[in-house]
Amino acid sequence: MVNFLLKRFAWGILVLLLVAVITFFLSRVVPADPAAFLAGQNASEATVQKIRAEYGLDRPLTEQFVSYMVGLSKGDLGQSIRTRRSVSTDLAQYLPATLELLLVSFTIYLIASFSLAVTAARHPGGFVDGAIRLLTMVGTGIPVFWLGMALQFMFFYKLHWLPIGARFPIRETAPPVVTGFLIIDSMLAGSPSALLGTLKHLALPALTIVINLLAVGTRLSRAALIQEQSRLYVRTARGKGLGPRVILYKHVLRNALSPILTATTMQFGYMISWVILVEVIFDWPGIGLYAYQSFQVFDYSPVIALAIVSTAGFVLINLLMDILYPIIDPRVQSVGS
Amino acid sequence: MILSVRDLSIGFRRIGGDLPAVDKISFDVREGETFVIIGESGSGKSLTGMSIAGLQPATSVTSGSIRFKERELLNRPDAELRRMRGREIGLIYQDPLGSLNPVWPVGDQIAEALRAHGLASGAAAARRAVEMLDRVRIPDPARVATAYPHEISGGMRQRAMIAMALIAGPSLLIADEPTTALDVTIKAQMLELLAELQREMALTIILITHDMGVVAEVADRILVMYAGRVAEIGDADAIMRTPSHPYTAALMTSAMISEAEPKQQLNAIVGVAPGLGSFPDGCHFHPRCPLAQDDCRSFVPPLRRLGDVALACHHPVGSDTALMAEA
Repeated sequence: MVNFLLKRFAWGILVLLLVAVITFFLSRVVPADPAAFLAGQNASEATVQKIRAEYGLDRPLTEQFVSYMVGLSKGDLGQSIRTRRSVSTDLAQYLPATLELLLVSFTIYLIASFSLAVTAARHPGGFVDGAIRLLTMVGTGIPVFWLGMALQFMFFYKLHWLPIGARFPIRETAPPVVTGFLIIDSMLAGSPSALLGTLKHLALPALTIVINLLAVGTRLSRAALIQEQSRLYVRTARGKGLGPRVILYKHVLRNALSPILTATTMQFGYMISWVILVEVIFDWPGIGLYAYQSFQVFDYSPVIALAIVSTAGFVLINLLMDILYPIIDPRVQSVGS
Repeated sequence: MILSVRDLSIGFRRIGGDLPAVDKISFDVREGETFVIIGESGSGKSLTGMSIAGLQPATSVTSGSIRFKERELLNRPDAELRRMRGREIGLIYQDPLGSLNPVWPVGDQIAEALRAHGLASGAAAARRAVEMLDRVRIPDPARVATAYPHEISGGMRQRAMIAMALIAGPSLLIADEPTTALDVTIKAQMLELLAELQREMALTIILITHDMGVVAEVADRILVMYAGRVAEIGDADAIMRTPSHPYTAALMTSAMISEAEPKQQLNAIVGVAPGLGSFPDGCHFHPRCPLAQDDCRSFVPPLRRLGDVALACHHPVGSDTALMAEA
């Protein structure tokens, strides 16, 4: 098992390296000049040249690549031209906001898709099943940007129930930064009002992400549950006198978990890509918004770093699944070892 | 009479009319006997067996009557049947690997049958599961109890299934092709084990099979099913000695051939059994029957007594030698 995980880990590193190489060259292929952006419209050629030299943009591509990879191997993600800080510093500031949004959304998504799938699978083809299918499909059919704006219009502008923009009420003092996760920080500060403010700000962006993922997640989980319900061991379970509840929660569910986990991994991948859009719509100060702003001025280093970070997130979640599979299904372990 | 089945019909709902799979069959099972239902696949034998425990597919429609110990079972609410399954009627199945849940240890799945009926819980149930594994002659039962189904052999799995079916003390065991997935030596052991447990636990066994060899080994009485109907029913020895229905006779011949030359199996009966929804008119067996005459093609033969057996045939074997020679 340990051997297997080490192999997977090494594989993950290789994937990250590849992503770094690919994004490096892709970003350089784009005919854009970040130095010109930075210098501004009225800057002289000399100023632009000076900035180019400062960031090493005047050197040959191979030389830039080597020096970037050397830096990367030491954990140096480069400098941001736009913020004039190291990318690592920027990430340390923005990453917690994104992680908090992702984790909250993911948790809600898991609970919601799972309970909807269980409810739908109880009577496949029934009214409840149909209603759940219709609602989740509508939710997923709506584009993220439109859904985000519609939710803002509804809950912020019309109903005044929920705030939009940023992570925390602007007139209140945020709790001291300990973890960067405002939910945890406000709990550490022992401030219920800070916690409430944080949750209110999280509500709409999280809802937008969840609604968009729900249909696919619910349908995949539902299909897995229904397929397992037709297995022979279910007849055996009925044959010994077990009731539908025990059969569903003890026998069917655990068997359905493996395909559900696989689907969940893919959904997490989608979630990472949605988060950029959602952060822009909700002005959420995370790495998604940071990425968007960096893209706009062709700020190379942050863009590459973000590609690496989001890939790392995906690799990590896959690694986690590899650990979970054999725990859920004992047959997997004997294949792996 | 522990079980009385009367005019049992089972069909599958389809647009444009139900497809009949079992057509008005009737039989009785006596306490303590081994009652064998034999037939080819598609004959409705497994469906009949499963319907006794209310485990027929949800898409099927049933009519008639199934009385078990003076209680009507057919079309009772599932919650009511549930109390009886495992506790009064035990079941074992054809495919022990698929019939066991892959993600729970064997012992846990056996103990579950006790827990389901509130007969024991926790450690007591687990202990009794190990005892039951021992009773079905599994060596090192404590180890097998903690093993997962894929970690034990096919024969062991079927023994574990038997343990699961019998742990809550049922008086009737329905065994649906219990030896089909097993090789020949294990098959013999399994039949022996069932016979022993039958004596020890005063079991009535309904054994469903397509294997004449199994019939010869264990049957007290036989029900021969063909395409959803009773072909012949009665005392096993009488039927084996002088099969009266041409289908039974053909089954016996094919069994003898397959014993002598295993590769020649089933060639004794020409053609294939009709599938669901394509049952012919008249006697369902007539297209394959060497003795078929005009009346067989148009009229359903009624079930009538002939000595120790009852059979549904217009022209039983040996009733008309002149015609047989002609055929």
